[in-house]
Amino acid sequence: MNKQIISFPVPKTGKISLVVAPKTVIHSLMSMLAVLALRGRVIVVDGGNCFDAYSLARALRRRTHQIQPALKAVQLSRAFTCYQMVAMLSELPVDGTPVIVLDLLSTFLDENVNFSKRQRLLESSLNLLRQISEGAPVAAWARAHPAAEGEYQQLLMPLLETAHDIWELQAPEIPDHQLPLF
Amino acid sequence: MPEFTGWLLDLFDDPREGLVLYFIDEKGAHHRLTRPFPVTFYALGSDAQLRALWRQLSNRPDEITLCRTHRMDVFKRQDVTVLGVTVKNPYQAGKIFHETAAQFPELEYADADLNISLRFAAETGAFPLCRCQVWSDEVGQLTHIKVLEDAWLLKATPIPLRTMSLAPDVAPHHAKPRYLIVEVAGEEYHLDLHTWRPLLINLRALIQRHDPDLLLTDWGDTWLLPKLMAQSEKYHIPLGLNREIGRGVSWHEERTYFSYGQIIFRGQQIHLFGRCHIDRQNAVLWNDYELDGTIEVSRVTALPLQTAARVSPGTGISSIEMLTALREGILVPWQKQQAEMLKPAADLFTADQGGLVYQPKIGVHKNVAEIDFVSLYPAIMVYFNISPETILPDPNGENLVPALGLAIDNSQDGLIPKALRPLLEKRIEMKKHLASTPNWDPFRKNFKRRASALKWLLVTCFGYLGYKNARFGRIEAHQAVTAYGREALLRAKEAAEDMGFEVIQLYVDGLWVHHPQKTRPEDIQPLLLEIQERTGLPISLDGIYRWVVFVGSRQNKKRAVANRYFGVFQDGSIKVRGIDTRRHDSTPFVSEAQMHLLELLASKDQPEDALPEAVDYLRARLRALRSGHVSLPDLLVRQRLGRKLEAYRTPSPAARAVMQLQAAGKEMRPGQRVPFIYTLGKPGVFAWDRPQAPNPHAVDVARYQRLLLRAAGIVLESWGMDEEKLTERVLSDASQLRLPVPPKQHPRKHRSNIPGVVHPAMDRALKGQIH
Repeated sequence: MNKQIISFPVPKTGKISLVVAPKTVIHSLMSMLAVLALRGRVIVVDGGNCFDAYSLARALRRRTHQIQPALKAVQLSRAFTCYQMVAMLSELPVDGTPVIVLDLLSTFLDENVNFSKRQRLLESSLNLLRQISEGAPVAAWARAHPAAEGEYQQLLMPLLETAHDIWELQAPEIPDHQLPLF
Repeated sequence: MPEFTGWLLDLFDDPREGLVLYFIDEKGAHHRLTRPFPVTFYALGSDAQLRALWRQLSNRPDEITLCRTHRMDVFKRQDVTVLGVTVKNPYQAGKIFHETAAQFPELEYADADLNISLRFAAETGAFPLCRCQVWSDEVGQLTHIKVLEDAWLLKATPIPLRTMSLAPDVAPHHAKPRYLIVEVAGEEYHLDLHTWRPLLINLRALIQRHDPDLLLTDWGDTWLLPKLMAQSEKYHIPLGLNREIGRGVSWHEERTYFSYGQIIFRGQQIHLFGRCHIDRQNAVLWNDYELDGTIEVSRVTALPLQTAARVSPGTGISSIEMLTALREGILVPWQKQQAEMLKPAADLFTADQGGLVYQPKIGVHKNVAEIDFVSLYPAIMVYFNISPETILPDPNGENLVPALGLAIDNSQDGLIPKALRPLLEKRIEMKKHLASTPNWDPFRKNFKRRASALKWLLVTCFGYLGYKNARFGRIEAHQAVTAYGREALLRAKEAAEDMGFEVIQLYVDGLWVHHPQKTRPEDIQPLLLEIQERTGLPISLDGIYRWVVFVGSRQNKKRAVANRYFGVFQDGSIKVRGIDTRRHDSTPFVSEAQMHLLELLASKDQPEDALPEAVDYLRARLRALRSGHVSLPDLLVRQRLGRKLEAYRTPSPAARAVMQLQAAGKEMRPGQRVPFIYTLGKPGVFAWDRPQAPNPHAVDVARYQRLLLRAAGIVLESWGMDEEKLTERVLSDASQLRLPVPPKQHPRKHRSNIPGVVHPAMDRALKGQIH
């Protein structure tokens, strides 16, 4: 399968790097994760159940024949609710281990939870990320929504304000009309 | 002295009297009793935070009492210090809790938003619809209640429920109803919906005379009761829908949600006080288990009947778990905080798998035994003690979960096994009882419906273990269940192969095996015993197929699909999975024809002998289709609207039908099923619920012909007659298509609540009556 891989610079201690991009960016993020995993332990917090182990394995295989140790170096935990996201970030070891947060906003878009409550929980999460970033590299990915408006926009704003480096990627436009077959 | 023996019909909180309970006694009379019923929720946090909360709440001594205590936190596997907030009147509890949570958002809360019937069941043992002895004092306060039949009893004494049925003559979203059909005490009344005043007076008189315990309605939640209440107010004729005087009805908002990858819509709900209301059109799984099953759900989940009728089996399972937790003194978290344990990415390859599936061998197989583990996943949870608190990360434990590196703590029973054990045992008992109950037994249907209700609860309990909002869910426990499931199926396969069987298919909890000399049920028993011995799990023979066919996928016929098959058991019964006749979005015209073909095949010793008859049948169905002798309701397709209309880039047929409805001023929500007919030209569909009558001549006959022949091809392909050959053969004798043919009676009559147009002439006659 032909996937366009973007080489993101690996995050640095003291900064929060943010990628705002559609779902297809996951392969590029797995590629960045592979680079980090070859250097040592990495923690992945997955907010959208989108961690792609196969993509990571492929990215590692391009860099090493010994992919098992690198796969073991990637420590993963998935959050399925915004409460879990906060709890998980608050329990992360603060020992300099790089932290990658996938689909950070997904659990905060859950309409079953009152919006003001979600905003407060997101604020707590961002505070925790700020604290973690003081001693460890932190990168986060926020999934871009085609119609970025309403609640999503209100949740994205504080995240943008928190991040130090921001990459914003757009999905290629799909033509409205049917492409010719020949 | 006991006041009376009866059944607990309904209970709810009340601003003045705390808890109100309605009972029916053995003579069918109802009794209203009350009881003070303080309820407690707990706050968890640091000492300083709890102290601040204490200070805040201690100035409301009239409403609240506070205590510092210890309760079991199942996720922390230990007792934790909590602040108990006891609200004297349960009616105030919700408001006080939400105020508290808003003021102290950083605290965790437990036992905060529980249904009052669960609290009552935990405290007294009495659950909705339980048979009990009741004592009360002279002012109508409940003093004592003793449960006579517990929820796990196989044969409970029938409740003398007085039921009144209310239904409009036609589906209100389809056409304007003309009269209201009332059925009560064996009588049927038709009340004219054009003259509201007499209707209200008559209906009120019927309610007063019969005093029903249960109102069973069609579209009562979404149309009938709101309409009746509006007219009742307009004409100042109170209907007395509630038994409880002075209370309005309780409205619950409509909602759309995701479940198992599908978008589901639930209409608004109307609950009554002291009398139950169930809208058959809005009740969950009503077509599957009706009132008997709903009563069963209410009893085992301890949810009030009106609630039990409308909640998903997942909520039912959650209630059973919460009730068990309350009884065990375990905190029920308001919002679960625990996330997945950090684990190496490599572990995902082994841990994050589902059930084991072994691709079947495509084609016809004769004398195949299907054996299934009995409620495999619930049985694993119960027998292997899988629960959020029993899963340990330590890989040094003795009871390692297969291939996961997780251990099970067997030092005590987990919460989930405790909650599920009686449910599982009842289901197994009921299955045994059903197997020995003859078809003529009048209680067989009742058992079947109740067994179905239990089956749905058990089917859901596994998914709920991994569901994000489940109070006692945990992803590692979810993964452990599937790991044990895969191991059990592999052991079963090995046992079968060791005993000389050929394994035709494995599918999550069942296996299909063949042995040329072992073709009777008693020949399979040794295999069942061997599997039970090797796995420790109950297994049973579903039946032995005379023949079974595994069909390929639609995209690639050579590629096997595990859940698409059909076959005939030795007793002549047919089992079908994954083909048109089982699909909800198939038209009755297609699914009934496919089933008829299966019945034809099943009726012959050699199925291929049925081919000429099958071809004749298909020709006849096509003639009927072309000559307008297939009723329009039989051509209806019902597809679910998967998203909001504006989210469609290329509208699906269902979306195009909804656009037509929208243009006619009718709103549809994602998750609702949209009935429509395929028509010629653009937009290619006609929404059935449009105000205009459909034009029978606009039906896209060619499309229905394709659908019919495709469905027939799936069934006949294994006997050399695939869709292509079938099309050629059926359409070859074109002269037959012009033969006059009388309307044909379907082998299996389609039952529909929507009045249909049977013939073009009748359709024209009806045109003027449909609005």
